[in-house]
Amino acid sequence: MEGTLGSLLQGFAAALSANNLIACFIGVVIGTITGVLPGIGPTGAIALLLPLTFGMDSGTGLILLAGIYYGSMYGGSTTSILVNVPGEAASMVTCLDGYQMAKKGRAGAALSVAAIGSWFAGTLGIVGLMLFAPPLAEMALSFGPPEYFALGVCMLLLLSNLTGASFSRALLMVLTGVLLSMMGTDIITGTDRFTFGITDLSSGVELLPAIMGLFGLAEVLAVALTPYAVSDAAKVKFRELYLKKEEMKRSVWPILRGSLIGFPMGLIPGPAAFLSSLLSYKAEKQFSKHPEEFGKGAIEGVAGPESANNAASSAAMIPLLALGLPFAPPTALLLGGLIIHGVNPGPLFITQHADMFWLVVASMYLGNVMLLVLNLPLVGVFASLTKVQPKVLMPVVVGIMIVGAYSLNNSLFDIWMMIIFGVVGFVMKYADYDPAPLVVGLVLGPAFEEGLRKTLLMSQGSLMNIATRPITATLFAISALIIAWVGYRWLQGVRRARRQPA
Amino acid sequence: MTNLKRMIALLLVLAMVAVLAAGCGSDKQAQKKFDFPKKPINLIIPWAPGGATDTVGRAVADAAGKHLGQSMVAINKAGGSGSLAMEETLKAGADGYTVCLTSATVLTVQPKLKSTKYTAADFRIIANIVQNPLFLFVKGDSPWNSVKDLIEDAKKNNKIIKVGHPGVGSANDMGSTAFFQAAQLKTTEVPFKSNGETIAAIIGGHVDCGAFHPMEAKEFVSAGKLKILGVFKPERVDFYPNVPTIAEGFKEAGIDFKYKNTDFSAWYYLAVPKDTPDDVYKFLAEKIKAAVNDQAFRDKAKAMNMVIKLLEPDQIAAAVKDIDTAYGQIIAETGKKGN
Repeated sequence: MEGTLGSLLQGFAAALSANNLIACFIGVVIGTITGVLPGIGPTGAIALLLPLTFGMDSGTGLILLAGIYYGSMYGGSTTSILVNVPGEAASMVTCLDGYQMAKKGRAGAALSVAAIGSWFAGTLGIVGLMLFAPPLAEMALSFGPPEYFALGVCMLLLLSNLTGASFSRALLMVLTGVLLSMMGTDIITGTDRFTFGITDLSSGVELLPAIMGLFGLAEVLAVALTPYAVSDAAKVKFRELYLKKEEMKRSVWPILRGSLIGFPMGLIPGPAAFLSSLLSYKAEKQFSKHPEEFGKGAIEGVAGPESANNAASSAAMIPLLALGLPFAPPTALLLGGLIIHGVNPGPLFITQHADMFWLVVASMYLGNVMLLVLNLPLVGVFASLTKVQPKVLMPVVVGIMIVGAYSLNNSLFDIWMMIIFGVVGFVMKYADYDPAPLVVGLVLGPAFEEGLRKTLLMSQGSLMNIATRPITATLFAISALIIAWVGYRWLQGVRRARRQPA
Repeated sequence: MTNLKRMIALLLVLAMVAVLAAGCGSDKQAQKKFDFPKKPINLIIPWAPGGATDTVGRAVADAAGKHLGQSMVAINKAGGSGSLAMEETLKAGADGYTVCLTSATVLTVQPKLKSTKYTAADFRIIANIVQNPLFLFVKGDSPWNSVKDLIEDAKKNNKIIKVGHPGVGSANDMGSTAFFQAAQLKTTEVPFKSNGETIAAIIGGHVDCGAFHPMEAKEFVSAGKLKILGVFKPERVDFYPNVPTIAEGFKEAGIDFKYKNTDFSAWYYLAVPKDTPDDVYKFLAEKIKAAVNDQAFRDKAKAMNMVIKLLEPDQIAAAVKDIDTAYGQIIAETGKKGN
């Protein structure tokens, strides 16, 4: 423990040098911007700025690039809250309640709680990274295909009815999402499925254009049909711009729970940040004393998920720094950057490059504070956007979304995908179908399908190894409990109905 | 009346979206007299950011900018195991302003596995950038210490070996498939999304072995988490002089490795569409060679454990033909198929 403290202090001493502070600041500012702009994500920004760091000291370069990565998780919620366009996939769920809060004139509160939750979760994540990186990374390795399969099943059960509307409608959307996720190259055989000969489709339905269309573009189209009056958003006194006392009280536990959900999720490969935010939303709804407020502007629905995705992104640094294994695209790019700098992160990185490890850890603490200081004053600026006339704001939003969709893969195809999903989302809105379960299916489809097929490949067709692996068995036990619970509740309902004939 | 207005507004929004989308297409025109390059040159990288190919591409784009007189802009076009980027390059036109980074697997394996809109013959290779040697790895505490151990153990106990690889038709997949096909062992192939995930699966004990390049795997060897059994080359490599070739390992086990003369290393090439004007092609070839010889680039390649060995065009063609034949044989004999 004393060793940790000493090393951390040395890390801070190095991180506080002018060069490193400036690098950290530039990184988090760019990160915030990429987070705010929908579609333009940390991966693209890091790729773009990588050559800039060639002239820098390797530690300084890593500080800058890492800053972009965790900084982007702060900005992601901004457009979700203001215009229902998720800045990053992981901020999709923030749309559900954040946008409703903005409609009620509480955009400032939603933005501030997102910033504070992000800061708390990010910092907690770094503490975890600092104290337990090597053992946690080893634990992440025990996650093989059978574990993914079990996680996929468990998540599908937990998240299928995320927003709690009609069960059959939600199930229909989840299954549609799973079907859509089957498009593209089958990872096991290399065969293209449902691509209709279009090469662009071989990488499957990209998540972000789908989300931007279903949520953002659909909303823009709806506003075009029935424009809201700006005066709807009540005038907000400066004192009430940030969190009210009651809102603060309601956010404490969601932030804490969100952090604890996000951190372990961040350790494993796959869309960790995205899933952790959904899981946190579900948990908050379950724990809440007033679940009926969810979807109508419950602050817990912003505080929890935004904390969860930040904790997950901090935790995603653990496999990278402790093992040299990048499980997320932005961390893969960080790894590439380090290698070009002549630093090859591997299992010995923390011991052999202790100075660099502690430098990065210290810079992450500093960066998170900078992000908080940077984001809170911006709350006022962003919140005032809700006073802009929709006929001015919406075209700008569409323009930014198109640029963002294009920049994902430098491809026009993604723009068309976004437009198609936008029209679909618009129709769904009027038919009263919720887009969130569709996205859940789209994300969990591959985890479920690939997990199952790989599990069967590994065991020559036997499902026995599901029972013999501890994590898998636990996850399946949880799934069974969920089914039993739902069944029990349903029976109760049937009995009650029988007792009180209408 | 207001309803009509609203409908018009909605239509207008849709029309604007469509116009904006259509306006994003890039202009392409061929140059007549030689004042090349007049604008930055695009380098299309066939994979997502991060990973070996992308890292090489960015490094070479950075170095080339100094020699071309214009910058070289790296653009990632992931999809279809690299084939999307090849098709995009052909679509962009043969004016020299669009160059692609490619490899033997993208050029020759993908067209064999599925119906792509290109073949290797549609491209002219400008230069071979780096060579990334391929090795066979097992878990650090595996009972197998050599190719012979692996083959004999699997044969004696009738084991089915679980092989991990980062994608059907990747250089890694082709290498390990060649190995087990030649050894006549039963395998189960478990594909993952990246080298990192595949290595994690070996260290975590979920699969038994896999073929990787040292850039991704060497740190795990120094930490004792992975063990090298052999190199997929006709001869040993300088930086691992004690690592036998796969053919040597087979010989120990009493088998003749039928691909013993094939170099399974991944070569990264820069290429342009075959109709690119000769003067532009020659200019690019000369400048890219200078960029590869640049000390800054050489340092980066060394940090990545990659080999630089510039070849003449006819040597490159011969090397591509050689690996194409070997890949063709492996695919035909194992019945690997896409659609």
